[in-house]
Amino acid sequence: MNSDDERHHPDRDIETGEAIAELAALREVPAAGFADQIRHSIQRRLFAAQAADFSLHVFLQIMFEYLSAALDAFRGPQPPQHRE
Amino acid sequence: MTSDEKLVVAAQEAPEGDTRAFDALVVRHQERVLANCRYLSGSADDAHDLAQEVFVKAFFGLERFQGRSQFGSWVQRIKVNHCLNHLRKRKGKSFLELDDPTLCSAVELQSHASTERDVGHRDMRDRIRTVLDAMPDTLRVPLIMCDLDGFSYQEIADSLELGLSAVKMRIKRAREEFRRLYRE
Repeated sequence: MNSDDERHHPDRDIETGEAIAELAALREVPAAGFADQIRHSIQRRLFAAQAADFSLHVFLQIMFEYLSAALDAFRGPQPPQHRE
Repeated sequence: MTSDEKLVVAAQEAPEGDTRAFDALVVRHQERVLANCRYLSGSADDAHDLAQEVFVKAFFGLERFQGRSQFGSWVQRIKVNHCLNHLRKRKGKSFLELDDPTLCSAVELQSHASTERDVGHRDMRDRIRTVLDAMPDTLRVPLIMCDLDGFSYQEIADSLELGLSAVKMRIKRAREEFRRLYRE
């Protein structure tokens, strides 16, 4: 509560009157297909999230392969193993 | 366990992509959520988009819903926050302080005379709609939160970032204004 409130209404005891009964039952009828729009919107976002996950996974996999190849190249050719 | 609770559990346990249980929740709550979005935003054009975004947010937040409150109350909270953010973005300013002594003459608190004249000859719902549309955000929003949503004064004060006395004053003024316009 800010100081203005305290200054103008120090006792806080403000009579607000009776509730508007008509508002409690207020409803709006949705347009046809409203629930379908919500479902489609959810499905779109789920698909987008899966696509983003997949892209990230592919990107990380490619980076890993490049890194492995670079490390192999840095080490140079391995000498052949001699068997006893 | 109420039907809502059963549906919430079913929606939480459903495999990804299966929205059947959530669809049923949408159908049960859509009229109320839509009415709230319609009257909190004061815009019939925005109401469907807002209500849709509220349900999408609810769907993706469902795993965090632990059932400590009713699903309806939880959605109500999402809806109010979403609509208030929408109003703030649209107006680009915070709500006026009703305790401001100059506010009684502020343009934002004056109903439009032409709208007042239109109110008399419509059926009840249209009359309520016209009355609410004629009210400024500063009065309509706390009134809707209080008398339609059933939020406490303190919850309204917290949501609107106002003092408790300011909220009570606004609700008092809003109820007076609503009754005056509704009678005309």
